[in-house]
Amino acid sequence: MQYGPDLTLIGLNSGHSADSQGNHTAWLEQTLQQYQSSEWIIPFHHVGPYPCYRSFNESYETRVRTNWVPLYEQYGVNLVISGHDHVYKRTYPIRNNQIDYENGIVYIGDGGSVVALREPDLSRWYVFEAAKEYNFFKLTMTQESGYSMLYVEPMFPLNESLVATPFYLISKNDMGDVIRTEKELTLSGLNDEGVVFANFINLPTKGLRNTNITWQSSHPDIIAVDGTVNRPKSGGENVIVTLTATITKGEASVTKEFKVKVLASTGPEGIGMWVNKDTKEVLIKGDYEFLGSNEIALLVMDKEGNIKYVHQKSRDAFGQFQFNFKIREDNMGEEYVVQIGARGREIPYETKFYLTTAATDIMVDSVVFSDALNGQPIERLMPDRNTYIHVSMVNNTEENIDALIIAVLYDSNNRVIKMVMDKENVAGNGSGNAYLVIPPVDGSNLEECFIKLFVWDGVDSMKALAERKMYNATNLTE
Amino acid sequence: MESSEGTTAWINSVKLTGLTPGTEYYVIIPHETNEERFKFRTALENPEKVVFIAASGLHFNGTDNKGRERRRTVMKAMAEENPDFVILVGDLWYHNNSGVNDNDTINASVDGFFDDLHQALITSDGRRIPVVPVEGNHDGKTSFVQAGPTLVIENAPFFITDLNFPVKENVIKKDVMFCNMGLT
Repeated sequence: MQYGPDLTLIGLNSGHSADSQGNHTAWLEQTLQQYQSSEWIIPFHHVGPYPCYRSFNESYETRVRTNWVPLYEQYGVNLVISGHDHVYKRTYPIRNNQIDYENGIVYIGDGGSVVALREPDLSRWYVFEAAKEYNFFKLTMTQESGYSMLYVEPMFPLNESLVATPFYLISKNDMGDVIRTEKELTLSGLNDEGVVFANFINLPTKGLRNTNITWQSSHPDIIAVDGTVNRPKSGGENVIVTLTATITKGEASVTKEFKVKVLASTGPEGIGMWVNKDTKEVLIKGDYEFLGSNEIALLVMDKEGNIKYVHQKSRDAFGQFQFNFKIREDNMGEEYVVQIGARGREIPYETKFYLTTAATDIMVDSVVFSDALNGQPIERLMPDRNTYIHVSMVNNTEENIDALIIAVLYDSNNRVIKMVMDKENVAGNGSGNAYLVIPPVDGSNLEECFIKLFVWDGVDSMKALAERKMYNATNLTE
Repeated sequence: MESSEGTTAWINSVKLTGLTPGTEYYVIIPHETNEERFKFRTALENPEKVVFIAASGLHFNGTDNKGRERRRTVMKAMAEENPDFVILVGDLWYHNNSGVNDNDTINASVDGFFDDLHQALITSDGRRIPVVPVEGNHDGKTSFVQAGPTLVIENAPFFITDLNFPVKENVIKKDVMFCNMGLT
C-alpha cells in the first residue's frame, strides 16, 4: 500500500494461509524493487524474524529471517513491524544478524495489544527494550528540510505511567531521493515544443532532500551549464541542445536528458514601425527574440541627442513587445533616432529608426503659391480667394512613380481646415508638376495657420516619397 | 453492494470510486428507528505528514469480558491519536484456539472484533479510521500451512470474506486498504 509517494507499507503473510517462501518471497522482491523511489518501505507481518518470547530458531521465524530479511537489507528497508509474541519489543538496528548502528534495520512488535501477555526474554542480543505490557505503536512520518523522518512512539494505553523510549529514523533512501528528483525534475521557460525563449534557463543544482544535480550541455556555447542561453546569430541554424542532468546522493546516481531547441536570432528586421503623421502617434512592435533578453528598452532622441521618449518593458507571454507613444512637439520634420535595446546589452543588440521617412524617391524641386493658375506668386494665403500651388518634382528613380501630392491647411490648434490633393505620374529619372487649389477659407484667422505638403504613394499606405514641407499661412516661404 | 454471511452478522461492502484525495466524505445509513452518521477521509496525494498506528494481537480467550473491555479501551486510545489509518499485524480474533474451536465461539470472536472496531475505532468528531490487516496465526482454521506455493484461501474464510480481502487464487494484491465501515 502506498500512502503518498514517500510511504509504502508491504503487508505479508508469514505462513498462515500462504507460504512465506517461494512465490510470496518472489513477489516481495518484485514489490521492493517497484517501490524503490518511496522514502519509507515498511514491511509488516505477523511472525517476525527476531522474536523476544518464542525461540529464535522456530521454523516460521527462521523462514522469515532467511527469506525476507536479506531482501529488506538489500532494498533499503529501515523498519519492520511484527506481532505474535504478545509483548512490547524494540530491537537494536540489525544487519547481517548483528547490531549495526549505521545501517541496521529496527524490528518492532511483538503483539500484545489486547491478547494475554507473556514475559519477554530480555537477554537476547538484539533486544533493545521489551516489556510485558499492552501496547501499540504510533508512527509519524514527516517531511523535513532535506530528509524525511519517521518518529516511532510505543504507547501503553492500560498503563499510562509506563514510558518506553520513542525513537526516530531518518530516511537513508538515497536512491529513492534520486529517483524522485529525476521524476520531478523539469525545465521551466520552454514552450510546449521545447523551445527556449528566455536568455536564461534555470538549471537547478539541488533536488529533493539535498540531492545534487550537475549539468552537461551538448552545445555549451549555445546553452552553458549555468543556464545562460546564447542564441545563434541571425541567419544561423536553429540548434537542438541536449542538457543532461546527473542526480546524485551518496552512491546513488541517475541521469536525465532534456532536448531544448534554441532558435537563431531573428535580427532587428523583425521590428515594424508605424507613424501616423497626422496624430503624431508612433507604434513600434516586434519580436523580443532578436534581443535574446526578457527586457527591452526604447529610447527616442532628436538629432541633438535630446531624449524625447524612454520606456522599458518586459516580454509578454507571446514574446512580443509593443510601444505606443506620441511626439508632442510639432517638429515631425526633424530626424528622430529610435534605439531599441536590451538592458545591460551592448550595441549589437540595438537598432535604429528614423521617424522621418528620409524619403528620397521624389525630390520636390520647387513650390510656388499664386493667386491664379500660373499667376503671380503670393507671400500669404488669401482667405477670400483660391490659392494655387504649383509643385515641381524630380523622380530620382528609374521607375515611373504615381505620386499623390497633398496640401493640408491646419489652424493654430493643429486641426485640419482644408485638404486638397492631386495625382501625378512622374516618369523615371524625369520630372513632373502638380497643381493644387486651396479654396477660400472665409472667417478663419490665418495668423497662426500653416500648410503642410506631402508626397505619398497613396492615401492608404501613406508611404512618403519625398520629405514633407511646411509653410506658415501668413509667410509662404519655406 | 455485496453482502456475505460468514458469521451470524451480515457484512456489507461498498466500493466507492472517483473520490477526491484529502477530502472528508459523510455517510448516512438509515435504520428503521434511527440513522447512523459518520465520515471518512481520503488520503492526500502527497502528504507532508502521515500518522498511523500499528497493533497486533487483538484477540482474547472466548467471551472474556475483561478482554472485550480491554480491546475497546485500546481501540479508543488508538482513535484518540487521530491516525490516518491503522495497520493490524495479525490475530484479530480466535479461529483456531484449542478447546474453543466451535462455531458459536468463532462467530462470537469474529463478530465481537467487528463490533468493537465499529464502536471504538472512531475519532471524537465521528471519523472512521481505515484499517489495513495482515493475517496472523489465529485468523484462520490452522495456524500455519505447510510449505507450498499456493495461497490457501479456505484456511482463512473469515479473514478473507469478512474483511472483503481482495485475493484471488494464487494472487495476492499489493494495494489493500479497508475503510472499516464496520457495519456488523
